Amino acid sequence: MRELEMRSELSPLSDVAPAEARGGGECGDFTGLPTHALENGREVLLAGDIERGRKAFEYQADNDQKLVASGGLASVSSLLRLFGVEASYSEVVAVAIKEHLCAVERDRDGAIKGELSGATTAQQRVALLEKFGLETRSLKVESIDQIAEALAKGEGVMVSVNAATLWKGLTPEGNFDGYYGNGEHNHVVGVIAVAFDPATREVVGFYVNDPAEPNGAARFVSADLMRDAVIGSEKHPVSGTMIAVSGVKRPSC
Amino acid sequence: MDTAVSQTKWKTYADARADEGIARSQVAIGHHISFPVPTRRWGRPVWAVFCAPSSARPGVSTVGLPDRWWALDAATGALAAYAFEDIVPVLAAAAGSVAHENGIITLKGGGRSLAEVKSALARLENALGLVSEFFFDGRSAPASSRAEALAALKDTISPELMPFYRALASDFFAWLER
Repeated sequence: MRELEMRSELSPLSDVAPAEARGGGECGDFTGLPTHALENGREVLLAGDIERGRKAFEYQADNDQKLVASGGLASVSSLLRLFGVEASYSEVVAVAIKEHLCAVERDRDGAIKGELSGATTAQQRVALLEKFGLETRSLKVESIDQIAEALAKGEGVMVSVNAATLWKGLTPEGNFDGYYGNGEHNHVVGVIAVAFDPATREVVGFYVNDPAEPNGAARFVSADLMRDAVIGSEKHPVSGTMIAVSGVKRPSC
Repeated sequence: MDTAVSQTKWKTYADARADEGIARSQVAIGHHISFPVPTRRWGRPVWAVFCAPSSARPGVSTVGLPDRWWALDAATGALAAYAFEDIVPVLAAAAGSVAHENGIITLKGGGRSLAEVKSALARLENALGLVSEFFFDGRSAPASSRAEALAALKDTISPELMPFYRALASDFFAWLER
């Protein structure tokens, strides 16, 4: 791994200053959030920078090692880019393989089976982010407001989701047996922005970088769908986790 | 023995799902995790699970050969065993009866909607609830309940992966089918 360069100590996702800097720090502080029009024309308040997030998108199969099951690693790489860490996706994958921070399947000759390699635990993703110098926190998601709060504070976010639920509408009905699994979280995506209703302040939806598809950047996901995909229901719990990045670690004195 | 009801309150399928968090925390997000199935193959009644590397993206779902398995004590929910397949092989024999290419199994899918998949899972939970206590007690269950449990398993489990379930809990499947 080449020496890392940091563009800035803290690169919040949004052009809007982090909530703490605005004297807030809570999800309920909407001062200064810009308005934004959804595809259907509905006007919302937006926390996060969609275009910057889109530019940071990584398609999970687009790495030199040809790992495919690597949505978590692609999401790590996107967050590194958002926070100004100069490391390519392939470099992140190389570090993950070398440091045993992702699952690697090999054939009898020792060659990596890319189709089945690259998956990560939340702990492995945290370790990778911290190895590249970012401050992180991780938690089980109990409410989508936690995701919204993190984005409103200028944090970078990735969440684990149930893929079949998130892809509802993207995939033809009748193709869900394989990737619903047991209903638990089985895929990782980045969340780059949150849209609030200007009047009620409720979360309308999120913009998601889904690394499973080449065109998965900045896809709008409604609040209800995000809730289903990350939290689920009592009958069908997903147990999704969130990793939030607050910035680059300051060097210790 | 065959008719005696034990005093043990056995963990249900839903309990097993809830109790497997410790084992699951070791598994990378995206790995395929099987449904828990009852077995007494090791003497102690347990809910057994296998796990395999996998990859999914819209339209494609592949699974590798199982790389680990675990067992939850059916009485307490405690993790009774957790092992990698290359250290304690339990499922290796089944690989020979599974169609795979260089260890990669392509799941064809059952042509069902998400709602239908969830409905099948609910049916499986209910069906295993009809028989698991009988099985753990070592008692016979009504033939209709055993038939429903077997039908629910076949309805829920991808046919490509069924040999692994049968290898993991061969005693349970034999009990259902006898």
